[in-house]
Amino acid sequence: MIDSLNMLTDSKRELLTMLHRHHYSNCREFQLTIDALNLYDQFEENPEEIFLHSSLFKSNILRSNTAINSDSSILVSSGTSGQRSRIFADRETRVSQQRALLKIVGERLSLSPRHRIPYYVIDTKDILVDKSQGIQARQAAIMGFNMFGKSPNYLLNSDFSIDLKVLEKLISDDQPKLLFGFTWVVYKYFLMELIKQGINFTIPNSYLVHGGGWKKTLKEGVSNDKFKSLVTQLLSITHCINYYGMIEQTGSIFMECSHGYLHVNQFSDIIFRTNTLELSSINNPGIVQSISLLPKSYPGHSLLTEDFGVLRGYDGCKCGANGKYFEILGRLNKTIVRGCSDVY
Amino acid sequence: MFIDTPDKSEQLLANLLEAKNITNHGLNVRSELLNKLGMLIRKKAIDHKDKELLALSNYFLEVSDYKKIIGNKILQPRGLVFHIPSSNITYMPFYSWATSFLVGNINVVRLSRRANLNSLRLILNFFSSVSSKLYVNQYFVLPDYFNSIMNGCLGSIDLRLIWGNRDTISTIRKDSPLSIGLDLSFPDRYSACLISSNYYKVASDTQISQICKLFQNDSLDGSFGACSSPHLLIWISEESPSSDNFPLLYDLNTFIKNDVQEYGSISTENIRKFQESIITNDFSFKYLALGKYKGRPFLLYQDDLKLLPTFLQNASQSATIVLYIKSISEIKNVLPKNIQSMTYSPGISSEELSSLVADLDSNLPDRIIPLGRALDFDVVWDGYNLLEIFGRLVTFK
Ligand SMILES: [Zn+2]
Repeated sequence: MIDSLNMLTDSKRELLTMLHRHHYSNCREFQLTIDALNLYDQFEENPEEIFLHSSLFKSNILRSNTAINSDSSILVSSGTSGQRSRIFADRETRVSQQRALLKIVGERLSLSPRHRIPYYVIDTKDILVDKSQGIQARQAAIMGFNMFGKSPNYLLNSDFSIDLKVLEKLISDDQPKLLFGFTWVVYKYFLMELIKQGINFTIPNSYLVHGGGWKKTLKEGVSNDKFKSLVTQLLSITHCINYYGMIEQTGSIFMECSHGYLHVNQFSDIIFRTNTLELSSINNPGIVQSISLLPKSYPGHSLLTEDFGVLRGYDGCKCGANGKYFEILGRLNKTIVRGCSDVY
Repeated sequence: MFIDTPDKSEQLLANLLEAKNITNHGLNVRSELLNKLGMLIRKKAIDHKDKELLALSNYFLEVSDYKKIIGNKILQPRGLVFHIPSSNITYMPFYSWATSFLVGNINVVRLSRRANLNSLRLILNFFSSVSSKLYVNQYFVLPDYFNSIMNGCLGSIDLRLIWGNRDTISTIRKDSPLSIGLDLSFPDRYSACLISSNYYKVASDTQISQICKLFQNDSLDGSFGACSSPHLLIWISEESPSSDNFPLLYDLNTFIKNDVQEYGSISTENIRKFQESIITNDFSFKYLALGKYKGRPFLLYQDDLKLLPTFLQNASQSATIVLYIKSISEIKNVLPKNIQSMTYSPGISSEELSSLVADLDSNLPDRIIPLGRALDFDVVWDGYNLLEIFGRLVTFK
């Protein structure tokens, strides 16, 4: 039985339809995938049935008829292994993504760019960047969260050891602070190192926001719960908030609520699908299709991912927030689909 | 021996350059060893209900009974054989190896980077339970070391087998040419499947789920990643299928296991493959989308039959092309050349098949086999008897 809870609200469907039309008229590759299966008629009737596989951004730079100029940029995913995604963002898309991030994070953390607080990045200043390749997603996220903070303090040296001077500064007073880092980096180079050195402290009135890189963390058997309890034990920080987002859909991230669920927001939505790609019902794990209503310079508005997760409910979360709430459970097992032609 | 370190790799190269034409225990001993290995693996496969492993053990047993295949002909080893297997079937390296081992060759087998090394190690562990003799002159090499070993002894290789696509084959041949050895390749092909809707219409639920099970088996769980998987589906029916009226797709979809974590990646991968393929290949042919099976579209071909081979070439990696014919006698008019395997569903009689074989004449696929058997590996592959390829037939009058 298909659960209507897994569908989109009417207003989001309308916006999605408009985005489909926009990318259809402006992006040749998007148009080809629509025409090949005659999906044009579905734009209005079933807009959520139209999606691109997120890996297409690894093999192609998909653009929606936007001129390349000094204001446009290519965002590159930070993965160390395999091919990287390359996202073509023009000024308009970038600005709308920054605004969305500001609104989503601002509301969740009750922070405002007008009252900036000290900003600590659990990462190194020297993230390897080859500028000719584009802007690294990690760098972009650090800068994105900087909207709420004063100039960033980097807690890790270039060799990923903890910069003790910055750490001292972090724990020297009780004023509210914003800490940000990639889950994997926070876990491996900060939390593990604190354990090794037998250090723990209290950071009152503050926030740790972390996301991305969770695939590696899960691989090591570190669940979100375990991560949280480590953070509580070592940093005793007031708020530890996870988010789910992807470089292809910068800005419209899904933030974790006080009850540990991820929530959709006005800029995003999420759909879970079965193995036959039907909508899955509530509490049944499904393949994640992630929707962002922001991208206009590239067709990244509706993406089928290789993650799986589960819809937990609609409007009923104990945190009080409305809309869908869900959990991400991990990465689909990579059943390697091989061809006779693949020797390697 | 498992070659997984630079030291072992250097040692192997030195050995290969020095020692050649070492007799490997005699044909009867080898056949017995292969038989024992097959029996052990078979037991494991049955215990663990592992279909792929069972197929491998059956192949070992079949080949070890070599007299059934070559009769009283005398087979001599060729010498040093290099195997470059495809990675679509986990145990492919061992199919290629077993045949050549039986003949008595020194074998160097490349293990795929993408293959599940644990599964491959499992087989190698069985070697030691059978006999250390199995290790003599048999080398299984991690891809990191394979090329340097191969390039180090190109002049000494007697036979090289490449199971890959045309690009892979020509790259290997260009970068690592053999001086005198025989170079044999099995380029990728596509395969067909014949289903009679007359049978389908009257089949019971059990029979239908059996057909779905066999089809799923042939399609490698819906990935269609083998050249013997059905890329062309010939649907024999009085009426044309449509998106509302194609019961096979509906049934196949209801048959799918819904463990998303375990099986979801085939569906997403099929979507990816199709979208990539649409972007890079020409799909401007007339066809009708009938629906999807695990994300893979089934497209009813409606264009000029002369263009079908081109469309198959562009689309068959990412979509299954459906041809609809009214009776089995029409196949000779529609079947493209160069089909590797053709499976047939229940409901097609042996008389019909015999007359089909006669009709097709020079256009026969390499194998015509029942539905569900597409992935079985045969000693005769792509029209070659592998035992005879791996050995030298001695004339004795
Ligand atoms: Zn909540």
